[in-house]
Amino acid sequence: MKNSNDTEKIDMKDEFFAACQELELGQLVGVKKFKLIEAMSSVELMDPKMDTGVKKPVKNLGLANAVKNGLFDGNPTDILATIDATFALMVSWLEGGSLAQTLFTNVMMRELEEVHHEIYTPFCHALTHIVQIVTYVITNSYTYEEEDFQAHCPFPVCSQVPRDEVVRHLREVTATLAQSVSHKPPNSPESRKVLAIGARMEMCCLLIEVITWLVPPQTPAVLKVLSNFKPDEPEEKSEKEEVRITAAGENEVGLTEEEAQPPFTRSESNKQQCQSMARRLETVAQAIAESSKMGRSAPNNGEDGNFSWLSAIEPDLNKRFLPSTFPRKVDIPDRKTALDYLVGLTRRLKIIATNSLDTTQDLISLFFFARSFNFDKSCVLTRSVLQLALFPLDEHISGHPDKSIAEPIEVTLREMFPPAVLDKNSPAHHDPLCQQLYNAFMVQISKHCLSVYQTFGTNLARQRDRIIVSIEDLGLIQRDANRVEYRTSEIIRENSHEAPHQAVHTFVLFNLLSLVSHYFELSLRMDLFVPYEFPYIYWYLSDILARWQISTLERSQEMNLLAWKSNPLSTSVNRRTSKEKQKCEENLKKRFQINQSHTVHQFGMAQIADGIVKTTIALIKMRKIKVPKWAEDSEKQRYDNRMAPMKCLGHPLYISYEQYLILSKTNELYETPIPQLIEEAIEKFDHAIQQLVRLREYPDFHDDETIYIKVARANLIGARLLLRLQNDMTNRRVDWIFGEDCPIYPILRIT
Amino acid sequence: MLADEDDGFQIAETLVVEEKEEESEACKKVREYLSKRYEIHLTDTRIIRGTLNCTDKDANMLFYESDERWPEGETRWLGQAMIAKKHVIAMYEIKPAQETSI
Repeated sequence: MKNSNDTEKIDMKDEFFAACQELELGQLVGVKKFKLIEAMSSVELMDPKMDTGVKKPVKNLGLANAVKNGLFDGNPTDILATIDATFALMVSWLEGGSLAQTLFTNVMMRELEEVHHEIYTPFCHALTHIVQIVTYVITNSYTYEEEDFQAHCPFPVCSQVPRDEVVRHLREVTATLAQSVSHKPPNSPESRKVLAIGARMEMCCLLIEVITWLVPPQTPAVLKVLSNFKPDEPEEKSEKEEVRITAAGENEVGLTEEEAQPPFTRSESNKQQCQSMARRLETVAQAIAESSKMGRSAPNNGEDGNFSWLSAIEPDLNKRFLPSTFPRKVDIPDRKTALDYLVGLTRRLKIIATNSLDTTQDLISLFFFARSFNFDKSCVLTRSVLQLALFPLDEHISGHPDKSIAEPIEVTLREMFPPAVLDKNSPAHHDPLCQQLYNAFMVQISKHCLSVYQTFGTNLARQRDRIIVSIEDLGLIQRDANRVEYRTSEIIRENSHEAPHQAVHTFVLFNLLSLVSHYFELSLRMDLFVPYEFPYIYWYLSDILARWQISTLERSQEMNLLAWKSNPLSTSVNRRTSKEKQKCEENLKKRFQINQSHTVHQFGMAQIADGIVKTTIALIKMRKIKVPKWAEDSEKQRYDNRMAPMKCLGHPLYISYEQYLILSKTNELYETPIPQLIEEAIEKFDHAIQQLVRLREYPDFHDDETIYIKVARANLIGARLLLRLQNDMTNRRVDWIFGEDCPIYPILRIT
Repeated sequence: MLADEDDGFQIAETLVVEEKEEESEACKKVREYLSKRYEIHLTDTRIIRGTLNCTDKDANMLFYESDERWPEGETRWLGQAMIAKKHVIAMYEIKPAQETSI
């Protein structure tokens, strides 16, 4: 770099600008190797959206100045404001902000070892540990994307105080604060503020404890195993994992006796303790949110802004660590919003602690929980915690050495589509080749399910991209399922003339249908379809997905019945086995009831979708929905793009555009008079209501059904109104509106 | 080469006047300013130093190997930077320290 003495101070601005003026409009003059793409990657100076340097840096004042300004002499109101502001910065970090622009704009966090204060010291050490824990959890779950979370940190984040020591210190401070106001009236403003500070300390403590229990830190054994992991090594080694201590005190993989403890030591004995801590955490967070106004108010119209009005917060503290280009806009929530966010976060942690471990009995519950959890306004941290709580290292559930994901898969397969290979009374069960093929299938489906589970941990847009790959993978696993079916069929036909049900094949089809439905659900949730696409989208949801789901459920019922009939217990009159027989019959009855309710649900959904198709075509005919047509085959192109992920699956899940026209009779519908179309739609919505109302009779009636009934009713009314007003629609607007509680099926709105 | 493969870039590339026989006098004159290092004083008092790489009729300047500094402030590396004419207060050429330096 040249020094300033090299510069001859002759301003050549005017002569250079004059020379440029002579160029032709649009003409660029560059050096020989100049490429236009270089211009695209350059910083446009003075543009605040691209140029971080556009704002003059202020001199960093640091902790010493904050202390000089009375940071450590603040009253409870100031302390509450500082703590809540720091929580707001933490929330901003959890929502994708960089650490340098958010939490570490608190001067105490940057100079942790210099903080000597009864409240701030444990608080800042606790936050440092929380940052470490959160980063560890999110980066190890492999479900975050750059838009979700910034794992990069330009400076070391570490505390010299061990985690256990910090937790102990936080507890002590909480107890001391409670004791200090024990002699004062409990509702006095001073007592309430002191207790509010104590609650914040307790929340930090519980946050560390609950997350650490759900995602235990990696023990030396895991680290050692991971560092020795070689993917190319044959799997045989894992079968010989007997730990033999050598004379040197090390086992075969070089672990000491202490290191050779189980990798994840989530103790079942303190499960209840953790669950009660998680419940307490939510209660404390709610109490904190209710006390959000106890801290000092912001000076400018009460707006918190970037908290530069607090002596502890310097928004530009780490500006020099930021990249020069494309500054990421950091949204810092106000204290009320941030504390409400923490209530949501703690609620989700409680759900994971109390419910998630009970969902591992079967595949449907496992997937349903993960999917619903993601849809429930989850954040990247809680989604990651869920991933690692259930699958901390590999396919073993909760790190349990004897329970892998294969177990819930097999439970679902056995319960829904009992295959002959799992039936001890069937010759297929005793055929070694059949068992071998079945095991090969289980290996593939287990890998697939693990990958799908991880996909449920990503944000919706990324999830949709990954689901496309999963659909393709599952399509390939169908071949493994077919191999099992061929062999089973061979064995059974040798003994009888009856052809066995294709249980494993139907199980894969059932999962494929669920994945494809989920793909469409994600697309609808993200508002990716426009109303003129509804005819083929909702036709597919109704005629293909719902119809095949009903078909697989009916097959499940048949297979269960057949399996029960072939079970000697069903015809047994032995008193000793009567209890077992009764239990089996009850289970079968329960299974049939679930299947029936799912069938009715699917039928109701199909009716709503049919109604939407007919109403949309009527609206297109009324020119209330305009269909862009830039080429003769515009619709075909759109259709092909939407159905592209299913193309690899072939029949019955992939339907070409030509087949769609034949099967759906769309062209005939476009020829049908508008009143008739609307009347048919009314009939469909009416049928949907009748079906869905029937679900109330079933014990597993879910609140979601009420929402679908509401949608069907609203559309029934909307369609009737449309029928009445069809000749008076010139100045009226008709829209399909997706409600927040039902993002899959829209509601007709006439204004 | 992404730029060569992409049609959009290929069209834009043709706008860049390379050394051709029919190059206009205006072009030649502007070309004399290229590949030299400059110190640009901006309206917000920042000082940018960099090598001029490309320009156009509106004197939008593209620099590479550039850095920025506020008066009495630390220097910060920028890399490639684009400066519009309206933000320029002064422009000084930085002569190489020695003729043999790169």
